[in-house]
Amino acid sequence: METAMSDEPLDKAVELVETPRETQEQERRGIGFALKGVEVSYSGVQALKNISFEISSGERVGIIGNNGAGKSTLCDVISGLIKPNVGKVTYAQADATRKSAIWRAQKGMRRVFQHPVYFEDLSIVENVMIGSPPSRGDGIVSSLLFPRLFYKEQRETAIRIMEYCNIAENDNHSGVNLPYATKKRIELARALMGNPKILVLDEPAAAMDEEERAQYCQVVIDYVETFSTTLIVVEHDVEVIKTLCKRAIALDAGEIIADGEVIPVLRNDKVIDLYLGKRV
Amino acid sequence: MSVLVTSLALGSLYCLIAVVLVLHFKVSGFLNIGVLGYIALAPYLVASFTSEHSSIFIFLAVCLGIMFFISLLSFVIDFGLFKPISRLSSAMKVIVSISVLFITLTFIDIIWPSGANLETPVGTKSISIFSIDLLLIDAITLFVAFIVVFGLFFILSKTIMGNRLLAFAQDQQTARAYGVSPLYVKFLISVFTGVMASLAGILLASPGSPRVGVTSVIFYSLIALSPVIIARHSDLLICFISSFLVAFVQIFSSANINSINEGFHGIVSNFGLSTAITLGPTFADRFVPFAIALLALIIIPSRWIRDDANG
Repeated sequence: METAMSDEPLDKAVELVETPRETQEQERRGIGFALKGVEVSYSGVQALKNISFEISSGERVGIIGNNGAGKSTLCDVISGLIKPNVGKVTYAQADATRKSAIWRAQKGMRRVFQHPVYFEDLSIVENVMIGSPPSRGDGIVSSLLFPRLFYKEQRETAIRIMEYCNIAENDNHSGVNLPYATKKRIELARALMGNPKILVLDEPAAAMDEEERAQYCQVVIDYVETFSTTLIVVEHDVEVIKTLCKRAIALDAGEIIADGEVIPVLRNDKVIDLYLGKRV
Repeated sequence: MSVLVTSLALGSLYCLIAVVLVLHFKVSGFLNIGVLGYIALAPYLVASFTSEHSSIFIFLAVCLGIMFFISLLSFVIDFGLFKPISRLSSAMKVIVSISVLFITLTFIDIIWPSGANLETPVGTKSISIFSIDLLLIDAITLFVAFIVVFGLFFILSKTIMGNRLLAFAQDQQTARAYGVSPLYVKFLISVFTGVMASLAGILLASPGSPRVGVTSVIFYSLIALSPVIIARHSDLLICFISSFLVAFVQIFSSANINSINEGFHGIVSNFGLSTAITLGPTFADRFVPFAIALLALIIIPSRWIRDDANG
């Protein structure tokens, strides 16, 4: 009993000392994002089991798996919308396990959702501007005293990003009747507006035709290569993963079944049996 | 002409109250009727700290202090009281907010048992603009309410802060993923609530207007629910327009109550009946605003109104 009581503070001390060491090591190795032993369960169902991986800065990683494999849950854990029951998340050289989505967004993480959200009270350019990093123009005082000063600056940046994403022609269009693919591009532009360090794309190719998909992927590749942005893509479409990513992580029933370069992972027997059903 | 001016003054007050309720709904997902308690509280507090001899500067300083206090109160109640019930249904939250309203009114009754008469430096003065005699308080109401409401529309549509607030109102999860903090949005809403509810309360209760007296504040605040209903508690622009429509029809029917009575008796006699019922001021004040709201709910298609809140 005495030993147990004296061990507890010692464990805590070791944890406190080890965390910076671990973080320093990750920084030295250029680790942008890491999960260690992450588990998530909702109402008795274990959605993620002992998930561990590290993603280096500038790496392009695809996460593949069947419906119900845990891809979206993993995406939510990465972007901070779900907190793991067990395990540790490291981002921006800090323990991000209990940090919110807002904190991650402020540290340069941007997520593009599977179903694009268009803020209907705002114009297209204002929709893109929502993605801008927190700035001087956000506060009550600056909004009241210099309402157009920072707004104009951000608007100009948003228009440049819209041009980059091929949506400049729709500048002041109301978004209610916009095509789905355009809404997807607007959501991407909104994410790029934040000058992301990590870009998380949740099913980017869903409901797009081949041409739209190719255009979308080209914009993403150009951007991440230019700015060395870390890219995490959750996607069903293997072709999109092959185009966008250099590394793939395959999930099944909440567990990692393969992790490595894209082609070897897609040729992995377990991945073929459980996910692809045929050799790619 | 006087009907039009009075309607505009009353409509702008309804607009202040209705816009606060709609903003609250957009962010919290339920109709926070507790806000009406702040509208009632403001004139009582101002009446306690000022008298008819107070200078205009003291009066304005007290008003600013009350706005600050009510903003703080709104923030504390939103965080202290509504946070623990955040997982309850919207209906339960409305019940809690009605309770907040009545607890506030009870406190007002305890602290000011004999009531309070709000005196303003303006008093009951009249002015003449383009040979139209106008109550000064109506002119001030119009001026202040227009500035506040248009200022709010400007902030929401043309500033980064306002855009973030509207984005949060439509989709909290997405807005959070882009770094919009719920704490920041709720703080903003509390400030808007404090300023607009206090102004509405003080202007409603000011002497000189036909709505004089702090006791009538709650009654007129409740009528402001009518434009909120018409706007399906979500669309700010429709809320703005319907506030003036409701006020105009209310004032117009009040001014023409004799003609309405004649018409009413005519319709009854067409059916071979007779009645001793005479429609009074309550018809204009109570029946008309909510009849308009219910009619609007039937005839305005839902697709015309964006119901994008998270309720």
